[in-house]
Amino acid sequence: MSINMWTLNITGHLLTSASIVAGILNRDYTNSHVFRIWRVGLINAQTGGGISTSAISIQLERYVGASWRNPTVIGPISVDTKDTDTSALISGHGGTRVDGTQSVFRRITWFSTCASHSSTPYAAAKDWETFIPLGILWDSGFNDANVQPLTVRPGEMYDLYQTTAGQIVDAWIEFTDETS
Amino acid sequence: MGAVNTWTLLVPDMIPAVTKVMAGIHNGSAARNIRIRRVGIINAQIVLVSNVACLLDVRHYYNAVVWGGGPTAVTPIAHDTGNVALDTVTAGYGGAAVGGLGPNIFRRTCWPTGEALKGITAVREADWCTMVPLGIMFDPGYADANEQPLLLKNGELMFVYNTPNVAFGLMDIWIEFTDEAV
Repeated sequence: MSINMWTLNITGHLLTSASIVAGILNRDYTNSHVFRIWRVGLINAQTGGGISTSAISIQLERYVGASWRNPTVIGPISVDTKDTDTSALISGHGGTRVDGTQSVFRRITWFSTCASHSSTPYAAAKDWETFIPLGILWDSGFNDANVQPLTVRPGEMYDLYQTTAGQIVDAWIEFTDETS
Repeated sequence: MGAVNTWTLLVPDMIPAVTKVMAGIHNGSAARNIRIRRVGIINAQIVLVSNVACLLDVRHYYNAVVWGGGPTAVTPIAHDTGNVALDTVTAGYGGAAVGGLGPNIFRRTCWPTGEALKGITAVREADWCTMVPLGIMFDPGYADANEQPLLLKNGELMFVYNTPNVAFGLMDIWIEFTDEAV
């Protein structure tokens, strides 16, 4: 039996230093909603030329007991239009996370210059980063019912957080909304 | 059976060295089984460095092995903060296996230590090694109910282990595992 599923799709996030690339905060204190994160991915969305190149660091992390000030709110998209209630969460990017206890699940190096998709024989890493499967940085529990996905309980926040500046990236978080 | 309590051990910024335990888990509980679901490596070196190859194993020790030599502890992270705490699990890096039997070496991989500069020309192996799906080095049983994952019973130990004398590079190693009653 499938469960209400959503995708948070952040497009064109500008990677400024120390910013939240994409995040989900469970603000439901009636304990009626538990979110489960199944997959998280990044996609190189920088198409303009003349962009300086650099390797940047992004990490997937959890905060327990944090609050999220002034995010750019982006509503998640349901895969079934009958599912409309997103009141139990805050989702989006940017803003400032305040307080909370951090746990870092994964760190990656990302290269955010323009994907030139040139006609030369060689693709650079920035071009490979446009391929969705190669940008999946978390998928615990996806395809394996024995493994827990990441569970977002009330008062918990999961985000992709960059620690160094870069260019433009798309980020996506695939999650379900369950009662327990 | 629903999802089992799952944890991730993330050992960040590991520098290889000769005969070094890069990441590992020891089960010291007679009441719990630890199952290793997946093991992955991610290149974390972004500053220019010598590019040589280290050789990483997935090793299993059993029969009342002890993790001696003073391993450095790293706390695994629960996928659900509601998970019951781990019981007598040692996780981290360093040290050595003492006593017991083994190793059974399940997997070996040659891993580059070079920096992921990700230049605008041809991609290099060190750049490929930053991509999570390409760094999964061990996953028996994952997404296949016909296969068993690697089981750590009481007094058993698994390592990601480097053999050659290589002292360059930085890598993050992650081990995804489940904790179940015997």
